[in-house]
Amino acid sequence: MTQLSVLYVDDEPDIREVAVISLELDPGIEVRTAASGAAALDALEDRSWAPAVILLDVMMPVLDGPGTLARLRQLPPHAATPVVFITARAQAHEQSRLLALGAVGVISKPFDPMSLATQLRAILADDRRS
Amino acid sequence: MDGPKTASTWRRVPVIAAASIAGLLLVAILVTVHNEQAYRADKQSEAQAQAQVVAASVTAALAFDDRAAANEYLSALRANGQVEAAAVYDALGGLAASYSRDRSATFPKTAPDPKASRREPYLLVVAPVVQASTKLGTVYLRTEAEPFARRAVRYGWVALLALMGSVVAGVLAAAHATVGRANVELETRAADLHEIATRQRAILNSAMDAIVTLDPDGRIEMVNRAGERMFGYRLEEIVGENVERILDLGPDGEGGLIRRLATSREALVAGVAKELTARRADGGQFPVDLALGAMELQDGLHMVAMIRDISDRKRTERLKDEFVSTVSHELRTPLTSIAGSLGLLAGGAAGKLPPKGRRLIEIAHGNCRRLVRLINDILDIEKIESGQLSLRMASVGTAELVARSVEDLRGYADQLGVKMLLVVEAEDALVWGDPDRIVQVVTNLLSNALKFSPPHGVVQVVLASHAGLVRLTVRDHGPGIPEEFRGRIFSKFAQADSTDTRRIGGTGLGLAISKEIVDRHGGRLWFESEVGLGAAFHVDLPLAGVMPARSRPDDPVPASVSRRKAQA
Repeated sequence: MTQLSVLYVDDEPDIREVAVISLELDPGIEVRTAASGAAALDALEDRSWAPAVILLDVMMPVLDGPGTLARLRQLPPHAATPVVFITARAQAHEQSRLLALGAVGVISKPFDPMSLATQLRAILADDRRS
Repeated sequence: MDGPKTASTWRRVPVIAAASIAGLLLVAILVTVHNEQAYRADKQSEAQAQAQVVAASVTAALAFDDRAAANEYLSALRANGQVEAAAVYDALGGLAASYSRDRSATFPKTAPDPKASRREPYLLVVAPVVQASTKLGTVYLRTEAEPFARRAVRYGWVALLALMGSVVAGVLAAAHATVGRANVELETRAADLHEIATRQRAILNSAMDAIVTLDPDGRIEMVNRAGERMFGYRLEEIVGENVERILDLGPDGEGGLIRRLATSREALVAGVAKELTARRADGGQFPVDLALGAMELQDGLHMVAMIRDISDRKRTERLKDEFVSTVSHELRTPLTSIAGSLGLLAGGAAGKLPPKGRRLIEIAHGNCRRLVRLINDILDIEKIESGQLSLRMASVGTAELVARSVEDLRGYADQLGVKMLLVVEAEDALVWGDPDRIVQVVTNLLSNALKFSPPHGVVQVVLASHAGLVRLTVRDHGPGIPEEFRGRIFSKFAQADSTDTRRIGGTGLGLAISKEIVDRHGGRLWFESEVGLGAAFHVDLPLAGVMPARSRPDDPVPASVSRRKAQA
């Protein structure tokens, strides 16, 4: 299993915690978290660490997921980092809207904790193939 | 007092006139004949009297055979201009004296027969000259008689004048009567029209919606009071303006009004409803419902436009959408933590649990998932009922969608100990549909079949195509559908009996949603069942074509989508 560093961004601390445990069931995954869009952008300022994928909650106060993605695209080292949205708005049209913003995938909340890591890796594999 | 009556009065005029003229002519003829007789009798007696006067005056002269005296007496006749000629014959018939008004008359030597002059244009009378019972001679007097033709002409003129007089009088009388009636009619009609206009104005002005009438060129003819308020113009400011001043008809600036409205004359006559953007005098825009009707008048197709400001409705719809979306988000957020934690516990991520603890976690986890399904279903039902279930249509391969559903439910089937048997007879069948929604239908039917299957049972999934249709059949060998439940199986919150809910754990919304989705695809969802032997649900969808083999997509990823999948 290849090593995968993940930045998980969500304003809900409980969900962050569950998500970290879920993702780290996969021994190859290393997760850092951010509690807001702004915190995520701060974390990415740290040049010593770069995530291979960013999991972004959509509905967050102040700077939401799509807003964070737009700002992220202006940070040169992370402009091409794949972003996967994670959302409680499960409707199909919402998912296609998010994909159109430039995300490589969308995961619905509530997610299946036992297969969250597998889902994430599948999305990335799928994206690399295209 | 209406039109036809007035017309019939005028139609009777010639008949009345003809009858009057005939009557007048008859009277004129009778009067003429009578007058003629009286005239002749008058003339005759007048001349006769004159002749007797002459006879008396010449008696002595004749007795003495004094011809000069007789001639002198006759000359006195000159005083009577009507006497044309006169003669006195002696007892032997010899001419004794004569008189001629213009000295041209000639007299026979013997007395003429007065009866022979009947048809002459003069009257001839004879008077005997008698003295003491002895006839001394005869006086002949010829008086001018006006020719009948001339008199007839005079009668004619009189008759004509009388006729004309009576015709004029008749026409005047008739005209007066008719005009009088017509005046009454006109007054009544004007009053009626006024009343109709008053009524219409009151109705138009009390309407809540704007009502605008348009001429065939799309110019505004009339706006009611609601329209004046809605668009912020006074009637006189907007009449004659093009309707585009108040309504955005569409991006196309060319063509007639009917084409601009993307409709047809026929459709207009039947009535057309549209949602458009309207513009106020101050430039503000707002959404409206437009209902158009046609008004076929002499100069072309006019239109009646009823316009309703739907800003409030739009605002309410938006608020409801936001509310539903927020509630679903707010419910899902804690559920994500709960389901995630329970899922990790049940999955052994926190280490091995004692059997009872593990069972309790499984119960909590199962019900948590049920709650999530319920939220999803309620959102779907809400969308269906508000007409907002939007489908993202594409050409999709049914085999792939069915395979995805089967994969999605494999875990659930394993848990129940039920086998799924997939038979794909129509591998390349394409349908035109929303892939996510079709998967939702198949997943719903499959999970129902799994739920109702006995332990170690088999659920068959068959995909076949025939007669332009793709048919998906999901067959279980469960208890079947009770007779009394069949009629309402596709209704909301339908469950065969109340104990089912607890045992089977559905929301009672799945089939209602599935039916709506299939209907919206132009397909049909139906079932066959025999109590005790199981049930088979069929989804028939119109076939869109056959997929080229090389573009078939790869295996699906459940519970998430990737950019590549969405584009496939």
